[in-house]
Amino acid sequence: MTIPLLDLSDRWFAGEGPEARTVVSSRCRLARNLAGVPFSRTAQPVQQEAVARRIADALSVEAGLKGFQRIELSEISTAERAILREAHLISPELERHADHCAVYLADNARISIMVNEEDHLRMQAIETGYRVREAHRAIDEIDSRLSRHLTYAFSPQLGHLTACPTNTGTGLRASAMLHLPGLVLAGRIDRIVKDIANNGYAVRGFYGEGTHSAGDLYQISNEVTLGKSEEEIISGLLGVVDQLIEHEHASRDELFAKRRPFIEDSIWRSYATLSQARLINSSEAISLLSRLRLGIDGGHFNERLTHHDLNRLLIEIQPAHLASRRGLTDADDESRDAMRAEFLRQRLADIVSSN
Amino acid sequence: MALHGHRLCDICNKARATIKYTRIDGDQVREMLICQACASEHSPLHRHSEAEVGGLQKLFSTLLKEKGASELAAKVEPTECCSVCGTPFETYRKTFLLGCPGCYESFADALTIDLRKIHGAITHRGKVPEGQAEEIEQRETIVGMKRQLAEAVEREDFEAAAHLRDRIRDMEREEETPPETP
Ligand SMILES: [Zn+2]
Ligand SMILES: [Zn+2]
Repeated sequence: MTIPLLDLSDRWFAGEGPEARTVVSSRCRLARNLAGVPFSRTAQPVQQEAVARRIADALSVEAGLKGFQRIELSEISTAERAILREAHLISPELERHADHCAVYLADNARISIMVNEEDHLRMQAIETGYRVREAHRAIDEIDSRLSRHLTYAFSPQLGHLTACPTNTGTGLRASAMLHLPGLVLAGRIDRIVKDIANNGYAVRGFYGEGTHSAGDLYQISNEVTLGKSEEEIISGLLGVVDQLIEHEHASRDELFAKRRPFIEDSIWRSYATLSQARLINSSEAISLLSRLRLGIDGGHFNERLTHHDLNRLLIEIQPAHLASRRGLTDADDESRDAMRAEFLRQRLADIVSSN
Repeated sequence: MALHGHRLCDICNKARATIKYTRIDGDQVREMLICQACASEHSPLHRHSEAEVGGLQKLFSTLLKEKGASELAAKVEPTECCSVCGTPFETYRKTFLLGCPGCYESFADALTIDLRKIHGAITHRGKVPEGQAEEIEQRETIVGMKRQLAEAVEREDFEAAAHLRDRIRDMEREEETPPETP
């Protein structure tokens, strides 16, 4: 079985939608388990199989849930699993434990349902731009339909019972991925991240660690899943994200007003490196692409380069994607960095000449 | 305490823990909750991120140096197992993962504390699964009526108590009979 090459024109890569200048994508994930069965990591293989079968049945009988593509993790190669992970369609957890694990994709991968992840069911909806509510609506609908055919592990007191107590209750993790170069360049990111963390929301660098994220991409998500309704969780998150967007805009305006040559220099130097380098590792590439994104927002590329191009590039420069383009399953660091540089040179030349 | 209701960082034990970390050591998985500051300082592997495993080992060696291995071990609570799936409580403490839905009852005391630390609450206020809503509503009412019954007995209002007792009996009987399949 081979996975069809991911269509990167897919909806959530589109780079459109509300606040696309700052919010790259929005995502909502629900964790669910079937009643009376041990959680995935404790369940015996027979039990895992039974869980997978019950979920498959529920998906096939519920009329509104047709059109899911099923990918059995044990039937695809390690390289293909890595591709799914790089495209954020499966978690590293699912990539590691392939046996009896599956992922269902629907609606151009906007919806994905992981089976036998840490919880029996991990279902998520991703939207491009600032659309957390839409993402929640989409996944909530699927959850409601599935719950007609599956008996969830649920307690009236504690809500949905999940393998990890950090998900108990609603099982909802709502998040937005933000591009915050203004706050990073203005040196304000650390304080803001700390403030948010103290308010019950988690901020983490999308690439890399701690408060220093390659590419200035940050994921903001709720931490509390118990004791609040889904609506309260989402409106709380939106409140935090709204503020971040406002701070980011203010920082960018100030930077462009006071330090325009510095910003423009960093945008064009990044473009120069990306279009000329012969060796480039992924963290450098991601950082430079962040400057191009800032350049797009500042109107520096006259629409020759779009958010959609950048969203694609961020995924296409990942190791498994690069290797598969060459028909390889693996490569050493230096040849990978060479492949990445070549790919970026070519891509940027194509983009610039075609538009 | 200013941070009342929140779980504190497993490394510095000062700031609020907001990040879950996993250490994979051979086939042993260990999870912990740490704060933003310690996370950036020690740059370990976030469970859901693509960072390197090496950083994690660094984190743990620092951790062990700071706190001492014995102190960490002393934190582990008495050995008991889930009556449903047999998962030892110690495993939960190490991995931060429960074995089955029944673990929530088996380890109720410890979990109540943990859930309160993580979420600041222990009562679900969100969505109830469609198929289970009616059943749960009913059970909720039985629980409520039993409480009322106890109160009625206490104030020696035996008429009300008898009435409540009959209603509870009816509802429990209804719950036991399997619903007719169409
Ligand atoms: Zn700390
Ligand atoms: Zn158990």
